[in-house]
Amino acid sequence: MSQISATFVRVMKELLRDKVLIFWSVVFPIIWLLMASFVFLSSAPEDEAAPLKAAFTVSMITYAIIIAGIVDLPGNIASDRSRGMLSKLRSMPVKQLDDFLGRIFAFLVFSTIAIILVLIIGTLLGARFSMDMVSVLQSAAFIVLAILASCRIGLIIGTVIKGEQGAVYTGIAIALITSFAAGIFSLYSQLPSPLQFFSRIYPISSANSSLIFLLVGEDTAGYNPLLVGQLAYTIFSSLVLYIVGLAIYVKFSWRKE
Amino acid sequence: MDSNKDAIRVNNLTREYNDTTVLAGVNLIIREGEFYALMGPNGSGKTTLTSIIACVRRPSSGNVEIYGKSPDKAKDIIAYIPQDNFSSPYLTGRENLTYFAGLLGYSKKEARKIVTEILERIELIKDADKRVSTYSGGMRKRLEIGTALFPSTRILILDEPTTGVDPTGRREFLGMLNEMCKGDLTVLMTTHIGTDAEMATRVGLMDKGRIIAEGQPEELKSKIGLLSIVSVKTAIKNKKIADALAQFNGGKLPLETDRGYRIYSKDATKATPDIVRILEGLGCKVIKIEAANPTLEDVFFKLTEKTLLGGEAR
Repeated sequence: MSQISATFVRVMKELLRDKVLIFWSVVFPIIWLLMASFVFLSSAPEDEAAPLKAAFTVSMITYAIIIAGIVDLPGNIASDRSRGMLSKLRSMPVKQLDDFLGRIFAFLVFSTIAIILVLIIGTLLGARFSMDMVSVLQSAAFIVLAILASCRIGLIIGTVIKGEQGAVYTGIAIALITSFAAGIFSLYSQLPSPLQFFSRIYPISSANSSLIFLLVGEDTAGYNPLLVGQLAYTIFSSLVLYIVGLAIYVKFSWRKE
Repeated sequence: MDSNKDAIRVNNLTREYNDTTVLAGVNLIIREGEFYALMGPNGSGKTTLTSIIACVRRPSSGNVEIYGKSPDKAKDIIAYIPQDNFSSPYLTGRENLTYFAGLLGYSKKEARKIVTEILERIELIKDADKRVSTYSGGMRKRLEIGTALFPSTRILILDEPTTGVDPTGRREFLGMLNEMCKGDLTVLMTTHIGTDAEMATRVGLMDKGRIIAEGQPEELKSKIGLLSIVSVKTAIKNKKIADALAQFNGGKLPLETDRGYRIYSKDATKATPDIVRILEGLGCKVIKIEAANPTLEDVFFKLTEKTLLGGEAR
């Protein structure tokens, strides 16, 4: 058994057995989906409601990713620190990178479970997606980028904020503020122009727009996020800043005091 | 089983946090197979010292050698058990140990076998598949000690292992530790409880970042001439009573315990009736009075005028 798989199994079990975490990461986005369908879009004609439901389903997928990466990941790291697990690990022949990869894989799989559940509920509620193979593969890539970007923020929070509660509350605050500001809970076209600019430069909302563009259409996305400059920026900001998060975690979370 | 090999060697170790000196030049040698207890009040530097030995913290100066190597290069033979409960409450006891087996590179098959053996040894096999969140403090501590029972471990470092554990759990834990010490395992344990430290083959008393006395428990007690102690349990405790008892304690205030006072007298038998008379004269009811054997807490108090709970003599 490698250190990566040992860490993956441990973190995965912790995530799947924490009821509060399951609620906020999986059930909460589903509640929003139900509300959107049965309250906000209940009187809309089917041909208008379907793309909006699809866009909202994509946004809730992104929201589930945001919560897992920005709230649950730092909570997991800070919890390990506050209960002495990181001290224990520092005293063992554990490779920091292996611990990191084990954690990230666990969050990747956990986010994927959340995504599948949200997608199933969204589809059952009437969301319709353009599901050609190219779009699906491109969407999978953007989902990975969104996960990496969220985890990057989560790694920084988990490293900088020492206490578990502090890390979780900071994560929630950042997740909610950025989600509202970047249009995760609304359509891009409804945002005022300064926030539209923020939505384009914030890697997670940029990935979210790319998903809506690919799976629902440009009209609902509000702009074309797959133009070369925007696309390059989304990939660059997600990947490079993810490496920054990794470096900060490995250097400071594991630093000897 | 002590050998002449040095398992742990600490050379002139210092550690400062901002302007506070936590370790002020500690020198320490622990031989292979020895059970060494580091005893001192909170803030005396015990945890800092053990965490530097365990490679969790860095020293400001000085160095540590584990079998002649730096601690970074000896991580595979050290098992460090921090004071906090580090085991995951969401996992079962078996899953927690399997995680550590995985970190140490055991295959799934090897891990399964060795984890079962460890669970039997720490007497948690019946509760192995229950979540740790349902464990008592003592069970959880035993499980965490289990992470030190993988065959590669040669040095076990325990930081305040009985803190927060109920009396039954504490007894079980100490019994298990006693069994573990019968091999050639080297154990370094910090504590502020004298009776826990008495189990060790050697004890170091620590105060203000220094080891102020070191030796076998009996040796330490005899070294400072603590031969006669009167333990008195009173209905009340106050300054007037402590002042009155000072005359039997060489003019110094006696050690206040949770039940009364401990008086270091030249002749306990002779002093006892006088102490009763004086206390009754002050209107203080004596519940129990007896000549007692000195403990390591008495040694510490005699050397520092402080109790192990950190209080100065009042």
